[in-house]
Amino acid sequence: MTRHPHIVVVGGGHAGIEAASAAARMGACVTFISQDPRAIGRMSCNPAIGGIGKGQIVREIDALGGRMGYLADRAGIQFKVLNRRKGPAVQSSRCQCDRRLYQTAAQEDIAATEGITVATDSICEIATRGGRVTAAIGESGNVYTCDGIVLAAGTFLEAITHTGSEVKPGGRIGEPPATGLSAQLRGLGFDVGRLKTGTPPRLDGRTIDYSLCTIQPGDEPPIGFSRRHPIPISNAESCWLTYTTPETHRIIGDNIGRSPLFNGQITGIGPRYCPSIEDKVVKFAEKERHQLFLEPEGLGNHEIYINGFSTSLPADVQLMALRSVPALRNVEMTRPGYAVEYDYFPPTQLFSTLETKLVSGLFFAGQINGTSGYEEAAGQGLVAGINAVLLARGEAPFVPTRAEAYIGVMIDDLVTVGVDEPYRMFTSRAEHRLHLREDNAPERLSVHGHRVGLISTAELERVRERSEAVTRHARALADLFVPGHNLPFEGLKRQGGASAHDLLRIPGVSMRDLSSYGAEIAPMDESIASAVELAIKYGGYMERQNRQIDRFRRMEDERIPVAFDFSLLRGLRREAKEKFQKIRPATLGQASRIPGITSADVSLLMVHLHTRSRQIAAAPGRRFPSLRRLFHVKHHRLPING
Amino acid sequence: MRNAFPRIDLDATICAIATPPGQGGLGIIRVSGPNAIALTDRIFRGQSALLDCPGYTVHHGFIHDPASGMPVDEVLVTLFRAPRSYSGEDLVEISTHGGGVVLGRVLRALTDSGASPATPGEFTLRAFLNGRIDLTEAEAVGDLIAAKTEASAQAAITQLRGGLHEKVAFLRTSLTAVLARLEMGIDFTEEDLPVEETSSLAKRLENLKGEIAALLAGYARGRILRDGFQVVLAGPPNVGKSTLFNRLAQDDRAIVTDIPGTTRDILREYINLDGWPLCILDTAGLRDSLDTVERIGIGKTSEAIVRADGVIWIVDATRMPEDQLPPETVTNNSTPYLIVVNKVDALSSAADTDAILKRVGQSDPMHSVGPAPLLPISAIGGQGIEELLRVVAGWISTADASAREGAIAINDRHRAALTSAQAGVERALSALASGAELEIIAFEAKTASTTLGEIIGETTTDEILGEIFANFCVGK
Repeated sequence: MTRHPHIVVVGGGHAGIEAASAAARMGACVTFISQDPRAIGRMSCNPAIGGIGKGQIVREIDALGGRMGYLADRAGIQFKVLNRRKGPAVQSSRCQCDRRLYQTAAQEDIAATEGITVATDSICEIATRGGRVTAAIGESGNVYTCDGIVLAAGTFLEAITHTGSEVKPGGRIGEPPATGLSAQLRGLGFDVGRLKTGTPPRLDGRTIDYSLCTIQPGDEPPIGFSRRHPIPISNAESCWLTYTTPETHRIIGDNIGRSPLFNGQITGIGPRYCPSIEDKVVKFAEKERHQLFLEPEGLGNHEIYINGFSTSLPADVQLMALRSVPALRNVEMTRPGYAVEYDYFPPTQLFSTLETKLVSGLFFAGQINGTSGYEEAAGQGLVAGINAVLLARGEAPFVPTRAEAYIGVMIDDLVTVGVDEPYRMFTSRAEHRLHLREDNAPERLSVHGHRVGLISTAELERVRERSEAVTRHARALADLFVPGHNLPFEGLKRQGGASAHDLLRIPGVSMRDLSSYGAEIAPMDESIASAVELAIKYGGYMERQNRQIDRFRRMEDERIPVAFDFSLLRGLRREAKEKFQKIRPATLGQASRIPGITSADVSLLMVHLHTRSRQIAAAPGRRFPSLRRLFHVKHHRLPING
Repeated sequence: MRNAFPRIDLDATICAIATPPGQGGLGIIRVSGPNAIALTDRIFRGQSALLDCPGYTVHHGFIHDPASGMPVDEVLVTLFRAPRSYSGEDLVEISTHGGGVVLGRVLRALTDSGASPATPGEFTLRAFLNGRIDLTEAEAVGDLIAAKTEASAQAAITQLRGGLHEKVAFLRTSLTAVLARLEMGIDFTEEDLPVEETSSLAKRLENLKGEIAALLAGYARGRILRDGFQVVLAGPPNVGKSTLFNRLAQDDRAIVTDIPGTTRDILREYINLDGWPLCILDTAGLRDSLDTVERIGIGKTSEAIVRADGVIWIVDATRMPEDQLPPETVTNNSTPYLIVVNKVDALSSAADTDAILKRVGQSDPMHSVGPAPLLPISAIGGQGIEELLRVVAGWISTADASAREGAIAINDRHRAALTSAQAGVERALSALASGAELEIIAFEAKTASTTLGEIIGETTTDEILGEIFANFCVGK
């Protein structure tokens, strides 16, 4: 046990940045290893942070004391809230970033963090003793002895890029893969799988006819991500929308045999939610056009990212297809799109802390766990970095639950269900979505950030004060009577008026309207006003959601001892026994979410746990749970099958 | 089994008499658990040691009292080895020569050797815990065992074959399709996806509501099949209620059980009416404590009337009709009722009968609403009994709105879940109609889907995304 453990973080992407930064700020000595430190914080794919379901993760990272929200605000050039016309639970922020600014901000942030030493190396071996990590060994021959390792190698393990028949080893265009490490880990007993992802070509913005595109401006005023480090932000750039044509589809169709995705050259599984343009043309032939979003890569940068045109077709076909779009008829590519195939470790090999079950002290985060997306990677990096330090210190781990955070939903999905395509967050993955909002991330998570040492006591106090203020104001509105004469509602007029609280519950009525009705509302901060409005408007739904959360918690509170021997479960189906042994669920709730596990299996496990606990007399007087309860909370998840 | 989770020790070997109590030609004792075969072997003397024998074999021999060594009975022992047995464990069935005494002695021999007496339903619970049957099947087994007529048994078998499971799974698939469309509008708003019209979503939800209602209608059937259609015989003292009760009980040779009244105040009898279990409740015991008709509105009788599926109100043809009229609890209720005018055989002529019927009819406080349902009978002579049963049969088929072919009987747990799912669908519909946010509509629909999943023990989230990816071009 050491207060200042040595932690090695491998990989300078979004997961690595959060892991290194969190571990260092918790007091660890961090060696942050990258093949090329100048590439730390590089955005491999689109130049944007956030999006639906992802914006929530960024806010959660910020609330826990992570960096992504702040970095995105620093690099942001266009800010937009998606789903603005929908309810608060599914509104998500997204910002377009200046790619170079983001990278600079990240590198400066790392440099400014005490306790991080950046090293240039490529790790090819994890040294272990007695099932515990002891060191990371680099190609340089350097041995980085440590108490914990966070491996965040992204798409670099044994990576191959494809552009048409052109196949090159590489994790990103122009960057070499990391070789040897996954073979060594396989030797340690890890399962290794293969996934594929892709990126579209980049265009020269000076060759685009924007008059044939629709402008997609940012929101005014722009809203940033970080509530902890608010900085001035502005919308400096816009995005543009255009469409493919039947001619585009014909060109792609004619050349489909030259796509590595269709000629058998690529075997890794790609994401269904982010299909390549050739996939879209083939699978949805009835669609006459597909959207193409033109996103600026930065200020004073002519490069344009063409979202919706991910492809691994040969470069000449890419150019031909692009030029069949009217706005792009004279376009030049600055570089072609490509697909990348890489090794990943099926994440069911991890505990919910992101520590591997096979090697103590070894944590996996980001795309090597089969996820996609910067935000998903960063969320994992943060949790892995925190837990690496907590483990070395012998402290209780940090595992956000499904009812607390999107990060909790993601990690539980990964370690319990696993992935069969690159995993991306969607709000529909969260069963307690009404509670997991961007606006209440600090209220949900600051207490955890504080516990692990990333959030100061003063800051936590401010969060508490704010939520108390919201409660106080909401209560005051319930006591505030608004007389009827100014109300636009005939019924209430005749009644003589209504409480401000009841008025707010009427669809379409806002805090601002209340003042216009003549209600004398105590002055409050705008963000508090909107929180009060939300608490009142959705109060009924929140209450019902909270009851569901209580039910969920009861099953999560049924803990399974870490050393529990599932092979001793007599009467359990062999298939169920194997699954329990593989996943090693930490709670009855998690056990019930394992695909293929039936309610009978969980009941049997429960009976055994309670028989045991009675024998050990660990829980005297504890009531035996009922079957009813068990079936009410069961969330039985199946893998997606297309 | 539906209430508290019993304290159960799966390491114990349990035993119980499996055949109904009373004298019979054969009796069966079941032994289940890890030591079922070894325990039986200890008290069994046959040609071979049971422990060495494979499953699905039958052995002839004698059961001996382990204390005295004296033979108890000549038996046939059937062996089942785990997991291929009813309970999924090692299981032994011992067939004895009938009789409560012999069965009791064999059972004692087993418990003396270390077996524990099984709690009610424990064999089925073990089958469930061992993954042999799912929850709906486990419930169906319970119903099958308690089935009172052939139709009851048939309904339980339908459920056992997964009829309910299939139906609920289908409902969930429909709800998933709705959810997929809602989630599409939330998670993929930036995509150029076809927007489903509110009216079309509403139509899907309306259909679902109808399907759930149809399943719920099966509750009436399920309850009638399980508990019997409850008909209360009530009326003033000494009008012949008990005589009618006995007449109905005796007239029907197909009495299925002789379950005694659960309360001292009310007698009940099950008879088979066209395959339906009809439960007749006689409020006879109460009459002694009642001296006036007015006081009938209190106590157990009144409670029985409120709970009944139908009420037969009996009046005496030879007494003043005005003093014998049914209370409002009977007439002013949605429960069907029939006024029978008993002892018509004591009247001198058919004209007298008509006259008394007319007087009863006019005295009925409800007669202005419509003619009171009246029937002249003689409980002693048997006159009118056939007609009475026709009326009751009519009540049953009305109550069983879903009496059509293949309706699935459901129990209280299913009903509670279906009712709550139906309410969820309704809330989703009204949220849709009021223009509420998509995630609120989705919240309602998802809650309904989870509730439906509880019936069959599963609820998934990924199915919704799966449906989206399968059917729509997603991906910028």
